[in-house]
Amino acid sequence: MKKKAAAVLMAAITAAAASLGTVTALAAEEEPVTIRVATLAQQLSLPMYYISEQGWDVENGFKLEITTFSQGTGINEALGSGLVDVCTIGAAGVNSCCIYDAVYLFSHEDSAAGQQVMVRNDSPIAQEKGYLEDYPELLGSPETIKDATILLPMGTGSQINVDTYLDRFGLTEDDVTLVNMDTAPAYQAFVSGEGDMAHTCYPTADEYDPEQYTVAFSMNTVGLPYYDNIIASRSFFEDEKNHDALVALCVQLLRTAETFKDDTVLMDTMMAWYELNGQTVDRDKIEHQVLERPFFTYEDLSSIDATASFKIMAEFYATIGNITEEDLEHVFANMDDTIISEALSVYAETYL
Amino acid sequence: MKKKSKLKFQIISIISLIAFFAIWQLLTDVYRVIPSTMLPSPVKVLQTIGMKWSVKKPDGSTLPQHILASLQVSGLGFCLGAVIGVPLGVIMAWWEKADLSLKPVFDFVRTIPPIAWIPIMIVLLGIGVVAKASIVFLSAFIPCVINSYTGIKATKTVHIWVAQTFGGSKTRTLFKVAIPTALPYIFTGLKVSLNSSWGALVAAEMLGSASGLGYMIQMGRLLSRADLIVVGMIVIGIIGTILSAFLDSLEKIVVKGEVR
Repeated sequence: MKKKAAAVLMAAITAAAASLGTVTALAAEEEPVTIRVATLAQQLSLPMYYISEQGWDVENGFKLEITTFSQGTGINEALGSGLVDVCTIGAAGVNSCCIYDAVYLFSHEDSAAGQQVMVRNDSPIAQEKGYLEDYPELLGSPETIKDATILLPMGTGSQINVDTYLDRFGLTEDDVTLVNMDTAPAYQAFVSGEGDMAHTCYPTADEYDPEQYTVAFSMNTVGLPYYDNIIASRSFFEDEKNHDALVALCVQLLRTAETFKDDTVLMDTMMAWYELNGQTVDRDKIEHQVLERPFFTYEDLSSIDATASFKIMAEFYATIGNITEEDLEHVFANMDDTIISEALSVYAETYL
Repeated sequence: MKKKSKLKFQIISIISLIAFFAIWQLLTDVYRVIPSTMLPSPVKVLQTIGMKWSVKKPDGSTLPQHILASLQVSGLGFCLGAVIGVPLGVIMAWWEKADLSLKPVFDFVRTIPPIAWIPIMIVLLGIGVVAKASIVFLSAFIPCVINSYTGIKATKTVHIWVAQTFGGSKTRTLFKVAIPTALPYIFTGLKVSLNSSWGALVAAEMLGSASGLGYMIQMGRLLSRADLIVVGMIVIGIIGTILSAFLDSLEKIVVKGEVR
């Protein structure tokens, strides 16, 4: 009797374990891959928010877990600590690839618009226009620029912008004084009479009164492409089981870029993204800022070299000594186009 | 005997320092428990110090230039804090009317973190040395006031009565009795203030800088260069220790009786 009872109990336990195993296996099969995404409360991260809001992540086999940071530096630190799988990032992405061995997947947005340097209308720099034939829009001349004090956030795309401008006039950082300041305090200091030039970007760029200040140069007028980027952590990228999720994410980013060609959808999403991040903005005021910074669609990525900006930034960092020549090779080696190539094919098959 | 025990103390200190650096080296370069991107090894830090001694890249200034810039800012801020803070604390503690009128304002100001003053400082004083020194001043000034105030208040009433019995005026009693009593407190305030002034340096150099140790640390963060950050921290630590040792020596000379 005892033997019978024991046998029945064993059978029950085995059956329960087997069914539990099947349930777990099924759950694992259906469980979407979670991608921890680092975003900024800026336009470059908008597609991630949109994908998540539309539920395009879960329906395509991955789940976005979004964390918003205040600066690219914080994203890099999180990347280094293994807290982030994918991020949307600007020039700081070079450090992600160089220091934290992250992988550049592709550039998804042209954010050059609004990245500009202001000068006072009565400044000698503002009186000189067209000194360089190849760059007729640039204000200033070597004589007027030399010894100027420029307020800018160092170590960012702004520094690349300023250095390129100086280079166009045959000058270097040693010929001017660069003062490290974020764009908002730089604006405050500049309008209080500090410095000769101040770097700005959207939304602060629109705060400058055109009666008193003018644009000395911008990324567009110095001929510098400036794109924002999608970067993946090395461990996430190399894990085979994440491959399909990464491709699917890139496909959805392309789909979002196509959707954002509709200005209304883009603006509605932007307003919602700002609101979610506690920023109160005037829709009419920011509309031109948003529309001037387009996301790269399938057609764009098939026709332009979207890696150009990232390469220029990396080379620039090597030139000014932020990274070594060896690091530069490391950055180039970490630029991987397999995911985006596959994503472009999948996108063409699915959506075109 | 005393000499022998001092030597023993010095040997223990050196051994503990060597052990600290050895463990650090083992955890970083040897066993790689901590990645170099999070904490560079002592060897890497030494290499960076050597390199930064003469090379401006990647943050635009050499290490001596950073040190000089920071000494200028923190020195000016600390001196202003001491020169204004100590007499203010003494005055508030000694004259009741001054205490009643100044203490509420002081109590209000001292709760505001120095970093919160940055936007106001930019508008009022710009982004030069004076503005940065003012941030350091706000941090250094408070411990000076509090400690000198407490020191004067700690003067025993019986000592004051004795001075008054011998015909000492209020001002003479202050200089001959109260201030000597308060000196240990004042020196403690100065030492706390010195530490605060170096602590406020990083915040002050957020105000807009082209050089300075705080600036170097910030640039290290922006460029994800942990070695630059650690070099900045170590140099601040060394300078702080040297200046504290100087204040200790000064205290031994100025303060009569045993310093506890």
